[in-house]
Amino acid sequence: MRLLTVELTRLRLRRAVLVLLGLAAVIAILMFAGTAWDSRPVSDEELAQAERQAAADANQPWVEESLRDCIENPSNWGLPGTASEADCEEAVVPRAEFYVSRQPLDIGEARTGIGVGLAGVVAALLMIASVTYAGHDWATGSMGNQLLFEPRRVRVWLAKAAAVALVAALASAAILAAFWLGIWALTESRDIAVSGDQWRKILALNGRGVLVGAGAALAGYALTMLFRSTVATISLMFGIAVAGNILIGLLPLDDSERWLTPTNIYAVLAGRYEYTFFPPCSGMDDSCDGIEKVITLTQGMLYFGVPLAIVAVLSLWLFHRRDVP
Amino acid sequence: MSDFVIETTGLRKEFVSRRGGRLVAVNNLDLNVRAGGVHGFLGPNGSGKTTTIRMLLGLARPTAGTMALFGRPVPHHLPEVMTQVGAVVEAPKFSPTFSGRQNLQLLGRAIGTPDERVDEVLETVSLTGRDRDRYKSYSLGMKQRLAIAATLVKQPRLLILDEPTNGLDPAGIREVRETIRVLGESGVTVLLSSHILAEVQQVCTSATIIGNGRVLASGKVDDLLARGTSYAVRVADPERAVAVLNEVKLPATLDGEIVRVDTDRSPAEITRHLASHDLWVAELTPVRQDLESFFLDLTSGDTLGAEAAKGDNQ
Repeated sequence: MRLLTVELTRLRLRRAVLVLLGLAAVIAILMFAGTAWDSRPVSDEELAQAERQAAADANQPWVEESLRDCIENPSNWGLPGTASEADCEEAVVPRAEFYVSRQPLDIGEARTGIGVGLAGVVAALLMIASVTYAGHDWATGSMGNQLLFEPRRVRVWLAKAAAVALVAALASAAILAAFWLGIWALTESRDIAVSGDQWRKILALNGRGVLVGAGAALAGYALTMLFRSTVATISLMFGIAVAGNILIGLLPLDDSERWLTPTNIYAVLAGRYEYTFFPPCSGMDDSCDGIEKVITLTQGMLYFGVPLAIVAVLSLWLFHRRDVP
Repeated sequence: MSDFVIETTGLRKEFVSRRGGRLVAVNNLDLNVRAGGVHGFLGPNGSGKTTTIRMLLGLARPTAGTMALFGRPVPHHLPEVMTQVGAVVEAPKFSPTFSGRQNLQLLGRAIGTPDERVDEVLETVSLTGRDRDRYKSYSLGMKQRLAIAATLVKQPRLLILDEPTNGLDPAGIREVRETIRVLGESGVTVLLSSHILAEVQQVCTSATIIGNGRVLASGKVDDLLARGTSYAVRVADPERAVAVLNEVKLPATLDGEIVRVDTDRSPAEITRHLASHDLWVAELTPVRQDLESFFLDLTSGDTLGAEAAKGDNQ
């Protein structure tokens, strides 16, 4: 506990860590502001302008032509063959809402879109923060000095890991909670009804976001303790992010999407990832049809959890065994 | 219970080079340091001093051999004895963006030392006015003083200092040497690793000299110096005196008009042999070597550590 307190203080004193935590908070604020702005209600002035525009366009000759085409070939307009003239009028004749592209805030879309995105960005920043925290000890040589005071290396490794995971969990919890509190305030102010089930799903997303944040920070820390270098770890992470997916694409895997990092991150954060898999086919039968597939939460957790466990054990073992400069 | 504060037996450290070769940094080293006083640990660069210290402190694993601090085998019992050991290994290494005080507080808190102790040691090394400044703004001398302060945070019974005066100005060097001497006199055992021979001669009561990772000589500084005693002899016929003395295996050389005899044997033997050949001694003066000459004599056949170590493997 004493060592954990020391490591928490060391983390708090690291300016780079504070900057990265601040950056995560700023990104959350910007994402919230963007969501609020993009879904703001249509003003009376905007509506009047749209109505004027619709009325003007309704008298254009192309409207009449389009209406005739729709009645003759409803399928060209995405309508069933039994579509009536009224159906076509609704689809073709300009209305005010055609000129107001903004959609009101959809909490379900926000959860699976920007909510997942924010949790991913926060986790990435926490990972970098943990890398710089651990890398600093090696870059300055102060690790050796610390071991002169506490030579039990396993305890030192664990205390630092616990500090990193704890701070990452608390930081991501605070940032995600603040973001969704803001969204809740937005729905209240705009009289948008949100079901209790939706909020439960958001709570689950944030719980998984906290877990991913802590896991990412732990992975960054374990890798840095393994490589003893911030640059080496960041390079590896960058390499995995860029070249990893290309490599998986080049591997002779039928279903490469199942093994991509972004799809698995999404599966963990959103709870599942659905995609359409197109198997190799001859074009002579039904085998060319896509198959709906899912990466489940468990599969996503295993995708990241197994390598994390291996890296953590290896990092701890090598820290225990190797000479310290 | 052992009489020795530091004890190593057959200590060996090999490094594997990138080409797959082995470099022997420490080779079968037996180091014994008794409690109290300042013990010099001398050797040319690359002779294995720092590697030995790093192994004692658990920062490096020995390839073979045993080590003990306060009679307790290390590294196994290191956690039990480390609270009594303060050490500076090579250059001071602290977090550059933390203040001197923050660096010491973090180290001290890890072993449950109250922050008040940090105030005391900062005052001891005269850093009180600059303790809240960032470490990276410190001069080399201040960094060295902070490193010594860190060793004192524990109130150690054993201090291991690796080149502690490196980079200090003359006043700083004198200050650090005085601190080491005072600590040695106060009952703290100090192992002072240095290649500055004058420093060891001035400060240490005993010393171990190593070369190629092996002990070349060890004992009280006075005894080591006595081993290297020579005599300046003035006689009427110095050339004949040299021949006479060499005949009886007393190594003599001509140094101008003076016969120089390098021997541990009694001066009476010199006069007796010369007198037996009717060579009457007009003057016989013992010439006491300084530690530097003794050290250079001992290590003159050695190439430096890593080079020599390669040979060791062949």
